[in-house]
Amino acid sequence: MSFITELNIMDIILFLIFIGVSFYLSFITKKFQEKGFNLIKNSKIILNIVLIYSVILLSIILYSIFSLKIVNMLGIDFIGGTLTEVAFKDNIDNAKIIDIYKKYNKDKELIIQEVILPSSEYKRIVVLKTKPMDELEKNKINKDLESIGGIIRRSENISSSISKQTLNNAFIALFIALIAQVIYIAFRFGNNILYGVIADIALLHDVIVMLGIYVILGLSGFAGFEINSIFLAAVLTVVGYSVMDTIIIFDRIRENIKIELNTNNEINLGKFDDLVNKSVVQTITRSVFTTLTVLLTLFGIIFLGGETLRSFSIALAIGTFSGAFSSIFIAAPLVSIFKAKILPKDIKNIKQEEQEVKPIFVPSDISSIFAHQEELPQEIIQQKDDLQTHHDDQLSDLSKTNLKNKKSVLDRYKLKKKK
Amino acid sequence: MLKKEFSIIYSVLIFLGTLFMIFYLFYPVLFKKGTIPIKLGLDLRYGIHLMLEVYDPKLKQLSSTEMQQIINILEKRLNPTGTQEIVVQQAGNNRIIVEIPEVVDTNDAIEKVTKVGKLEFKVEEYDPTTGSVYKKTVLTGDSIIRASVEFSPNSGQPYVSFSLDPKGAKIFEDITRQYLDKPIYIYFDNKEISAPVVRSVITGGSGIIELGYDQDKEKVLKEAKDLAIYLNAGKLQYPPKVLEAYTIGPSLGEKHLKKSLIAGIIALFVVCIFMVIFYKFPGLLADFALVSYTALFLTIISVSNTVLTLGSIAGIILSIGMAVDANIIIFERLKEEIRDNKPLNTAIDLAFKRSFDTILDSHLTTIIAALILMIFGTSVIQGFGFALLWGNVISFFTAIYITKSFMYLAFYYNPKLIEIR
Repeated sequence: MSFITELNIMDIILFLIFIGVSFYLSFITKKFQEKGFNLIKNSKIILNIVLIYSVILLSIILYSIFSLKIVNMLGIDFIGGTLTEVAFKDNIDNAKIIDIYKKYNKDKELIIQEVILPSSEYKRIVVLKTKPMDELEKNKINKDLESIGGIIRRSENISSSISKQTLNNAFIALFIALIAQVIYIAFRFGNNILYGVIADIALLHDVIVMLGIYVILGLSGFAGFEINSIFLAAVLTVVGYSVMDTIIIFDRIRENIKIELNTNNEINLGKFDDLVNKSVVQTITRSVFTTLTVLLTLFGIIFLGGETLRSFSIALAIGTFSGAFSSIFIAAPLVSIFKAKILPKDIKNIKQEEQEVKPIFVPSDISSIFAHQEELPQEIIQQKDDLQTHHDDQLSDLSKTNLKNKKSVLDRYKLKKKK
Repeated sequence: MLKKEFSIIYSVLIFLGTLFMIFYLFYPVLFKKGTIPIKLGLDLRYGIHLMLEVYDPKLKQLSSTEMQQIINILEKRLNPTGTQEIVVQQAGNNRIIVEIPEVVDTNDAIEKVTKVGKLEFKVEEYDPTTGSVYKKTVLTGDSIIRASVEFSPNSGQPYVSFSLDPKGAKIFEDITRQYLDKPIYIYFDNKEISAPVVRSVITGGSGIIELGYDQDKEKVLKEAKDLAIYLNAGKLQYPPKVLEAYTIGPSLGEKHLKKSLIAGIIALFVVCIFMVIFYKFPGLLADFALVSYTALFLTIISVSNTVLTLGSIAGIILSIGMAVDANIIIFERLKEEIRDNKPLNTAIDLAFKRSFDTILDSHLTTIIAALILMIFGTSVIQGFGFALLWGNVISFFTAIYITKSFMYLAFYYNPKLIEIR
C-alpha cells in the first residue's frame, strides 16, 4: 500500500467529500422522483437566475478578451513558448528562480504559476513559462534550476511556427464540432425546429459556464488552467455530452404527447406544463445518475490522478455538471414557455404520422382475453406472457416514425394472431 | 426474449471470456514475469519528444524519398545498434517526430539530430615528419550525386552503385589510380563504416562497391542498404530545425502511470458501488458488464499494439463513467415497466427495446465529438479521442448484450432478484 503515502491527505479527504455529496444527491433525486415535484411552476425564477449568472460569466469572459488578459491563459501549444515544471522538496523563494532567468536575460518574460495540491513529497511545484528560446539555452537554465534543488518534471519548448498551426487546427475542430452537433440536432428535431434552437441555447449555456469558470480560475493564477488543445478537447467532449442529455428529455416530452393524444385525443396548452413536468420527473433520475457516474470517475482523476490531468478533468466536470443542469433547468422550462409555438406543431406532426399508417385495431391490453388466469394450465400462461411481450413490442414499434418498419411489424402481428 | 438455453450459453461464454482476458492481462504480473502487456507512451515513462522540420531552402519541399532518406539517417545516428526503442517517424510533409525513451538530456539528442551528416572518403598516407601512417580526407559526401542498391545480373548479389559530380569524378579517378588494390576508407560522422578495396581505376565518376559473397543474402542486402544510406547521407545538407521539444522527467512519467492507474481502479470501484446501492442485483450485473468492458478494452489495446498515453488513460477512465449510462437508462425503463404492472419478462424485453434508441443517441453524440478530436487533435488529444471513441463503441455492446444475457439468466433462476422498483 505504498501509494497511499504518495497521495496528499487533503486530496483523499476532498475526494471522499465529493463522493459523499454525489451519493447524497443521488438519494435526494430518487426521493424527489418518488414524491414528484413541480419544476415548471418555478421555472421563471430559475431561468432568471440562470440569465443573471450567464451574463456575469459572459462579461468576465469578454472582459478577459478585451483587456487581453486571456493571452496569459493561452497555452504554449497555441502561442509558442517554453514551459518547465519544477518540483522542490523545500520551500524555495521565487527570487531564486527569477535570478536564474535573469542570467539569460529572460526574467522579463517569465511567468511563474503555482500547481495546486502538490503530492506530499514536494513542498512546491511551479510551472515556469517564457517565450520560445533556443533549446540549448533552455537546457542550461534547466541545469541551473536543478542546482538550486529543483527536480525537472516536464520541459516543453514549442516554436511559434508550429503553434500557429495547432491554433488553426483547434479553431477548425471547434467549428466543425459545433456545426456537427447543430446538424445532428436539426436532424433529430427537423420537423420542429424550436426544439433544436432550445438545445442549442442549452449548449451555449454550457460552453459559457465552462469557459467562464475556467477563466476565473486561470486569471486567479493557478497553474494548468490554460486555454490549450487539452482544454479544447474537454469542451468538445462536453458539447457532445450536453446535447445528448437534452435530447433524452425532449424525446420523453414527445413520447408523452403521443401517449396523451392516443388516450385523450387532444392536449390543451394548460395541460402541457404538467406534461413537460412529468417528462422531467420521469427522466431526472437517469439524467442525474449518468452525470454522477461520469463525475465520480472524474473526481478520481482530479484528486488521485496527479497534477497533469487535473485542470482537464476539472473542465470536464464543470461541463458535465452544467450539461445535466441545463437540460433539466433550462431546456425543459423553455419548452413550456414556448409551448404556444411548439405544441400545435407537434400535435400536427404526430397526427400526420398516424394518418400515414392506416390505423389497425390494437387492444390496449391482452390480459382481458385471459381473464381467468388461475384456471388456465401453466403452458397457456407462458404463451400468454409471450403474446403480451409481442403485443407490447408492437406498441413500442408503433411509436417509431419509420413507416416501413411499422408495416412489416404489423403484418407479422396479423400473422401471429391468426396462428 | 432470450431463450433459457441461450441465456445460459451466453452467460457462461461471457464469464469465461472475461476471466481469460483478465488472466491474459495480469499473468505476467501474477507470475512475476513482467508487467501488463501494454505499450506505454513517453508521458507514462520518461524521455524526450522532438518535432523536427526539414526543408530545402531553394525548393521548400522535399520529395517523399528524400524524407525517407533523412529518417533513415536519423535512425542510424540515434539508434546505431537498432536495439533501442527509438521512434523516428514522418509527420506531415516535412516534419519528423523523434521519441527517445528513458533519456532526459536533450542536448545530446538535439546535436545528433540537427547536425549535417559528414561523409568522407579517406586514404592512408605516410607522414614523413612524424613517421606514422594517418588517414587523409580526399573527398567529401558533397560530391556524391546518387547512391543506390543494385543487383548483379549474373549472380544476383547486391552491390552499391554510386555516381559523382564532375569535380569529384576527376579526384576519384586520380585516387583510384594511385591506390589501386588498396582500401579507401569511408567515414560517416568520423566513424568508419566501410573500407572497400579498389579493384580498378574508376573513370567517368560512377562506380560500384561490392560487398563480398556471404552465404546469408539477407545480411549482405542489409549491409548494402546501410551503405547506400550513408553515401546518400552526404546530401543531408539541410539541418533539421527543432520545432518542439518535450522532456518528461522520471519523477513525473512513472507517477503519471501509477497515479492514473490508482485513479482508474478507484473510479471503477466507486461506480460499481454506486450501481449496487441504487440498483441492487441488476446493478451487480451492470458492474460485471463494466469489468468485462474494461478487460476487453485493455485486451484490444494490448493485442492491437496501441501505445497507451496519459490522454488515452483519461479517455478510458471517463468512458467507464459513460459505459454505465446505457445500464442506467435500461434499468430506469425496467422500473417504469414494472410499475406499470407488466409481467417481468415483458418488462425486461421492453426495457431493452425502448431504451435502445436513447442509448444509440447518447453514444452517437459522444462518438461525433471523439472523431473530431481524433482528426484534428495533437498527439495527447488524439489519444484521448481514440479512447473515447473505442470506449463508446465497445461499451455500447457490452452494456447492452452482457447485461441482457445475465438479466435473463437471473429471470429464469430467481426472478425476484431483478424485480427493481
